[in-house]
Amino acid sequence: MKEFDLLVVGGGVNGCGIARDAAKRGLKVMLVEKGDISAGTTWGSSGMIHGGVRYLFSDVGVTKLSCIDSGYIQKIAPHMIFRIPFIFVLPNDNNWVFRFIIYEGASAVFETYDNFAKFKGGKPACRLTPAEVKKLEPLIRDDIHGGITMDEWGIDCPRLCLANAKDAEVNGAEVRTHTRLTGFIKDGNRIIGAELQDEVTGEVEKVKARITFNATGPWVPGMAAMAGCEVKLRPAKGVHLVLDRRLTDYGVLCTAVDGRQMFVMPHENVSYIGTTDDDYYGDPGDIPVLEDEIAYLLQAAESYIPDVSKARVIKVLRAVRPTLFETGKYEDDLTREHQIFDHEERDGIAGFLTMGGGKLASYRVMSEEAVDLVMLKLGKVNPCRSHLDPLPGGDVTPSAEDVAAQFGIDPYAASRVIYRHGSWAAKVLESIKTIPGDAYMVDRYEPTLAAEIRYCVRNEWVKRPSDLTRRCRVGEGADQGMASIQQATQIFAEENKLGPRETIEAADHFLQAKWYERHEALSGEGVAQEELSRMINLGCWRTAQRSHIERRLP
Amino acid sequence: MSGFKKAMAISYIGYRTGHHMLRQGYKDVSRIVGIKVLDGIPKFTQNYIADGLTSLTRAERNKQWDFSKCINCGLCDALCTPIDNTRDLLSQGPSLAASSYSRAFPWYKHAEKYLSEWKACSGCGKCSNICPTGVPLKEIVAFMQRVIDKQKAGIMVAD
Amino acid sequence: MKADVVIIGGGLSGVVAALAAHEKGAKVKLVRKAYGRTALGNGTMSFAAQENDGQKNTLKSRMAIAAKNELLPYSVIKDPLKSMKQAYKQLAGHLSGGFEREIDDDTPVMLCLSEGGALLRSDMAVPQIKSGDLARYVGDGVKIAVIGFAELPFFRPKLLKEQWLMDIKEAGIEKAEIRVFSLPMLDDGKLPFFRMYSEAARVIDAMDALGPLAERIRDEIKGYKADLLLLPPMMGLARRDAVRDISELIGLPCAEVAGGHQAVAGLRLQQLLDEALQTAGVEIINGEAVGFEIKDGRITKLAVKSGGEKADIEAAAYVLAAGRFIGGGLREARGISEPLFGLPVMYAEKNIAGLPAIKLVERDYAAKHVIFSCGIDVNERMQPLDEKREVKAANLYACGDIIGGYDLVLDGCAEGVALASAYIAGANAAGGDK
Repeated sequence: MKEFDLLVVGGGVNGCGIARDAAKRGLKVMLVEKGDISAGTTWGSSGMIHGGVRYLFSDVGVTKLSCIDSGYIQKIAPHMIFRIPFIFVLPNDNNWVFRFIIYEGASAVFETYDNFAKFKGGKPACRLTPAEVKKLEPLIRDDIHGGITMDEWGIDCPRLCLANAKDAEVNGAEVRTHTRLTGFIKDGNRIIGAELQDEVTGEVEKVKARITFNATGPWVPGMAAMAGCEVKLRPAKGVHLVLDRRLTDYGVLCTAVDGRQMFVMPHENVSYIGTTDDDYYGDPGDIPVLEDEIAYLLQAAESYIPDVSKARVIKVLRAVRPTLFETGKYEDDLTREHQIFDHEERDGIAGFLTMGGGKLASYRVMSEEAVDLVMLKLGKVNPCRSHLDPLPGGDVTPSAEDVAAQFGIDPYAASRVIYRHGSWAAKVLESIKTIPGDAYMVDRYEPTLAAEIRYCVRNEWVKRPSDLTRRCRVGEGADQGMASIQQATQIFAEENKLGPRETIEAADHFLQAKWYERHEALSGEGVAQEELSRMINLGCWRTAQRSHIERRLP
Repeated sequence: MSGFKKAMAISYIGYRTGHHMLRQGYKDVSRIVGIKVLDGIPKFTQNYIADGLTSLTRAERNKQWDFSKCINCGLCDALCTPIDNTRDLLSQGPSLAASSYSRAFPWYKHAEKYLSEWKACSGCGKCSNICPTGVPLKEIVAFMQRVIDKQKAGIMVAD
Repeated sequence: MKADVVIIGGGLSGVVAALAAHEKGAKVKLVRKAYGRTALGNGTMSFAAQENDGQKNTLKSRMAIAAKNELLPYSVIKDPLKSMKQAYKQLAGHLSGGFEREIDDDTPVMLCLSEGGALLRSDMAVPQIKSGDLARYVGDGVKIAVIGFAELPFFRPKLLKEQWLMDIKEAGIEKAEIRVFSLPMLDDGKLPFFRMYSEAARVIDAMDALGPLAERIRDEIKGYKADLLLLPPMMGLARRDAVRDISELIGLPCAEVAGGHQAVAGLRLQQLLDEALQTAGVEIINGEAVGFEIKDGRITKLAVKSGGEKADIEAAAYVLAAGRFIGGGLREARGISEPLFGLPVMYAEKNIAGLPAIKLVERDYAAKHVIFSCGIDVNERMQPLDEKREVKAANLYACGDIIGGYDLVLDGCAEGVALASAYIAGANAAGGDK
């Protein structure tokens, strides 16, 4: 039986961050994730390492900490981030006193935020007249009273998780995806290990660990219960609509009917309309999106940008925030602060820790706190370096033109590889030197080249081809994998020497997983897209008709 | 504890608001007196032009919805005349303009190689004519070129 | 502009309707805004291809099963098989070499291998695919040589081989053998790979002679006594005889696999249909029908936008053959609608126009979602019905995919419905059977 210092359960941003930090501090770490890395709450996040302006009203310390940490993340992963300026639009009002108060009040808040934004390279706020707002965003409705700008940083969250997990592996950690923790091994009141089951092969394995860290996000209560402890969360469902391209380079912050802040913002090569925040006690792995939620988001966006209904929705992000439990509050008021539960002190169960709450932007500092506690429990001393050392690929960002020339590929495609892999781009594209056909575009939209898919399959824990959506955005374009799912599955099958039945089932799983993410939001050209997709995938490839997988949720 | 933190936060905001009003007053006086105060679009430009984050004109914004109609069917690629026998082209065809290159403005500069290949476009219009969803392919290229020119010229807002 | 009959839409059903009206002596104009589903098809046609009578699977027996399904439009047509055969014969008569196969009562289902590793059931295919029909080998054995070109990284017959064998054995061809060969299509080394099938197809178009390629293929298969040689789905676009020529040069029956994404067979079929219209003297107007006028229960005018200008066409009768979502005959915008005439969009006799898409789909992507089986309703004369289930206009007809009741892929009857409905609609529009 393998023995570890630390077993981290959960491969979201927190789990990966903890694994990386712990591994760098010399601990022997295993990271297990029951699905794919970042496929839980992280997969449905807004994709920003923001500083949390709203916390200026409840806990200034959180804002400062977030901004400082956002600055750290920029330094350790410079290739993955991009700036998103935001225009906070102020609605018009007949009462000029009210208008004055709102405008000056908002200005004050954002100017205050400037003091913290400087920690993360943010630019100072600008005050805009209504005419100026319309110059920057021409489709904003006329009835506004001006705008204030600020900026945040966007990031590709699945790649961030992957980079953390990869760094953990580089530092000696073992990473297991599609592996479920099915039970704990106890010695009296101490958790000393766990039973793991591979979801794909069915193999069972037992491992020993001095400390087990429960970083499973919305699944925290269930995992804690398995260990004999109770952790209460107040899970909050959040939904975003994804549009097929950037509408502009600026995000627009607007107010919805119920007074909540909403945004329409660019992210990589798509746009998001978000987000909702409702209590949710269903299965975090199977989150339905309701007609009301989509209508709510569109209505809020349309109230500021009337033409946004003409934009093409390609999928819906859905996730559950693992918010800490506090009774009697409206969802938005709940603190996003995190808490680390020491079950030895709290419940008498030693060797077990849990993290609840928190937000993605503070993952690094949360991980640092978590590993500090783990080190304390293990009686070891080693300072944290996760804010100083770059993540894999984050040391030097190569130029797209150089990489393109090196491999004879298009500079645009090269820029996307660099975005995802940073200085490791040349390693990723290496196969082109021996297999020239690996330069072909499997997925037109990024574009994602066959070489990158092959690299991810070989090196980035791709156990099901659907994992590729998170590794290199296969299937994330407007056609949602219509053409690329089959091709990517073939490369996966080739690398893993799969038989015909397994290949068909892998493709079916991929098709089903992608359908799940968009079927509630089919509209406009999306329906024509689907018509063509069915001709190809059901008419020519006949994947579903020949697959024997249980037609259930992925 | 959180009640205390909240009280601290609110007082801090109150203090900052007062500070802001004073600064604002100072700025207004400066303007009246004739001292230049950087704000509005000039300040925005200074902030973000280095990242190439330019804005779009109203006409450009209204065109975007048509660019999104592409369903990746490939008919335009199949009938594009200049692609006949010019396998030197890296571009792979007109469809990429709609589905890929035009999606993300900050990366347009890397698409210049692809755009330069459109100089071989004969203007036959076959691509737009047979497109099932009516994507105006040639307009996409013109759109992208205008944005790149703006980015290079450092113009934040064009009219 | 004036005409006897105006056809809206120029895919398979639009062209068949145009020819049917033309044969009845009408002066026909066809309005088309773009290519649609026909140009994107894989070159096979299904009339009742998914039905299985458990025995001989003749067209007649399969159509009989299909006709019993009340949802399918066949149930509205008096003798769908007869209309299909008539339509087919008429079409074949106008096409310059495309449909030599007879469609008869006894015709068994066609079995062709696809680019997707599957064995497809169909009733008809373009000649380049038809020559790969494996139906005659059922109950027997077959040896197939499959050629992969080195310049097509996305066609991987080595991986597809086991999937094909799986399907072939399941279809009752017990002793099947597939051998995969790989060779470069070109020897000029200009580009190491083709980016898409259509690019490779046009290189085939531009080849002076296919002799050298055929020779290299023959050398590569080195006397493997195959019954059939399969090629990737890109053997020429404008050049239609490439497969036949190579077959003659090698001395083996050759065929293409049926393609998926961006294969060229559908485009070839569409070009054949366009030629048929030209030889019949049907004028094609490149424009979009955007409005109409109706008076005393008859459509009096159709407004057409062409090249930025608007013009009206007056005709004695109109046929709506605009397809479904790809063609634009149906549209989703806060509900499903038929945007030109405002006909109610139905499924199982229920008006679904007010329902949001979320209520018309299921969780399983492979299900027969209502949204992909809906369309307008017609009577046995192919006249569309309005909300009151009455004929919308006495001189308006409809045919093809725009008619609802069947899934375009899963029900295996789309081209059969297109042929039968278009033949009847076109003939009636020209003043046929009253």
